[in-house]
Amino acid sequence: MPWTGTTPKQFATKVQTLVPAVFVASAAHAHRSVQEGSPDTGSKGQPVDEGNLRASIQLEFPSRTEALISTNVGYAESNEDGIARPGGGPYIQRSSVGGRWSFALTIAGIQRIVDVEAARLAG
Amino acid sequence: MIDLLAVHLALRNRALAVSVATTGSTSLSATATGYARAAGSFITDGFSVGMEITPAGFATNTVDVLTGVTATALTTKNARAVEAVAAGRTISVGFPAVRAFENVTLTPTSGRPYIEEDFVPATNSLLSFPASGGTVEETGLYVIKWYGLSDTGVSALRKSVDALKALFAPGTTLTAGSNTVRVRGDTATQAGQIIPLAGGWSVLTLTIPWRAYSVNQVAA
Repeated sequence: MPWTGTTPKQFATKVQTLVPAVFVASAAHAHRSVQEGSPDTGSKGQPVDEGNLRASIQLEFPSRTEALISTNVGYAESNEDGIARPGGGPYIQRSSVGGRWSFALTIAGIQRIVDVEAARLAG
Repeated sequence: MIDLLAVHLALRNRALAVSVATTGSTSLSATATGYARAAGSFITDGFSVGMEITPAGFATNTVDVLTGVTATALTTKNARAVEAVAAGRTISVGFPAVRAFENVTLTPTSGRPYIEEDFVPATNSLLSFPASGGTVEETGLYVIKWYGLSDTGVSALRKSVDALKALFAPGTTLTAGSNTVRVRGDTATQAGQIIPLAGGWSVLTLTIPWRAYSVNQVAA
């Protein structure tokens, strides 16, 4: 019976194609998790009043192997950890949308993000 | 389904047990400015300026904050009633007495370290089939914010949070009701940066990722 499966060369080609795609999709998923929340990480995303904070969460690719998720909004840090700055103590969240620890939950859930995106792209 | 209250309390109780520094039971005296010993070393025992100490075995065991540490003397922020040396006494540093546990309003006391906690349930997934009786995995974070005193250097805060971190080493298992909660190893307990704040405090955050498994029960 002739061999009809994937050859090693075909497999290597598929992996070479998929790895960058999984990377980009995972970065986009992580960005979405920080910004809007994700059931795959448990992140609730950023709180929304006028939407400035949520809109400020940016995704960049400094190189082919790096993804950077950042914000230039000063109060983003207090929204993340609940620490009022500069005085300390609790930082009250007034929005019913979003929640704390979106960055931390996304970092903790990064493997799940990669697994989800790899499974989706591999079909 | 895991009992999240039980998970929360298991993690909190683990943190409450932290021992940052202790003399152990030994011979100590109270001086007008703090405490003294003839043998042993407060430095070796781990005490640092800015730590909140709890004395035991003295006539007066008032919690206070250290402003000076040498091998044989501790200086406290407030004056002490003098007590002659006696055995069987202990001075220790543990979880700060001022605590803002979740959903409890706290006004911090000036000049005293304090704690805030966040319990953050995150994901909930059914891992195995059939659904009824299958294994459910839940994950989340437990975050402790240790507010130390500013202008006391790094030792008090770092030693305190390092001691706490040691209690939540990867793979640590805690009983939470009828289930077990585990400190994750794939992404483990992380201590952050010391962040100076106004009001006389600097804060250091410890983030503890946890995972718990339970048996899924589908209601009839």
